[in-house]
Amino acid sequence: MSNGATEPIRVLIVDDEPDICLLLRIQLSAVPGLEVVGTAAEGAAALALCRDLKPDAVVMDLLMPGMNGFQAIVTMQADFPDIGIVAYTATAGEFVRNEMARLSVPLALKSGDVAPLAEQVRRVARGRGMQAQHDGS
Amino acid sequence: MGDDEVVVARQLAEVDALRRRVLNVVGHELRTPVTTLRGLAEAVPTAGEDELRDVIAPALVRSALRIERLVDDLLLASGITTVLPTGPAQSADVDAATRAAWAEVGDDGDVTVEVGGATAAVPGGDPTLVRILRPVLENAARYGVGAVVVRADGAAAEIAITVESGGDLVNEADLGLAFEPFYRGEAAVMTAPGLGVGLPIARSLTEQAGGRIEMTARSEGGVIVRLELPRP
Repeated sequence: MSNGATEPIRVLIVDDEPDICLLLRIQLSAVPGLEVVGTAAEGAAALALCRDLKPDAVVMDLLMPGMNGFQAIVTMQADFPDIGIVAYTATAGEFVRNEMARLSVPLALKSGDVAPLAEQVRRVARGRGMQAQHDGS
Repeated sequence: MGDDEVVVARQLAEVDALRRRVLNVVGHELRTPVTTLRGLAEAVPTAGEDELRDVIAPALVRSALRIERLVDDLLLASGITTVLPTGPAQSADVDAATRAAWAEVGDDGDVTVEVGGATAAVPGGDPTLVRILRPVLENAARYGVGAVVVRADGAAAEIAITVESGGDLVNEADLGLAFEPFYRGEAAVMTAPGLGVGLPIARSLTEQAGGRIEMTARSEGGVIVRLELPRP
């Protein structure tokens, strides 16, 4: 996990759509300060990668076969509280918005424009880093 | 409010709920390929030649094909039948169609195909049979557990194709509604995107060919989809 201000934010992408993983790997890798360290197609695989790769932030799709994003977020927050999570979804109806608000997870809508997602990733990584410092002080 | 007015009000509410559900799932289904089309197209100028040829170009084609299939599905599901195959029935190779449909599903799981040299008669031939089998196999792959098994048998006049998948005991209500346009089962809503038109389209194409399709629950869990089609 990155500690210094100059180290890139290490990002794990979780989406069952291989082309979305491909796109985000290309787009986020091109954003200064971000490094994509892995991809997973569902929640259980993502949790295993969190153990192995210790990313700073996870971009999490919500509707996936196997363990879906809602379930994965709850487990991830309990097991890896210092990893920031951004929910990444094609549509965000009332249920999704309410659930993410309850879990304090920001939402980014799937879009060809990666800038809003990159900003959310920076924000959650920064927030979790500050939380870790606070908890350790 | 009289009884008739109550009924009309309830029907209008149901229509409005269906309209919102359809618009929501269409938006959801369009967003993924549109996102990849735009994002990957914008990555073209800075991509290396190998990455462009081997990675980005195939992904762009996949996204365009996905949108094309979505439009076809919507037109079929809306009752606009201009995209239905026309003309006399043609012989379709069940083994080849099953394998092509499985490739389109793109699932890494196991599939067992035991159909021998079976053939079926459908307007449009192999592409139509692929179109029928794709949503059946996709459902089995998404919601089933273990290998998907495809078999063919049947009486002289008809070929029966069964697609069997394991899994949890199935909600009977889901079975009854699985072939209704835009219906999505409880598991589907929470785990995977989709319009809820694949199986209704499979039924339309099957019935157009003079056949039948039904889904039944296995006593040990999972489902069997049985497809009966005329032989050539």
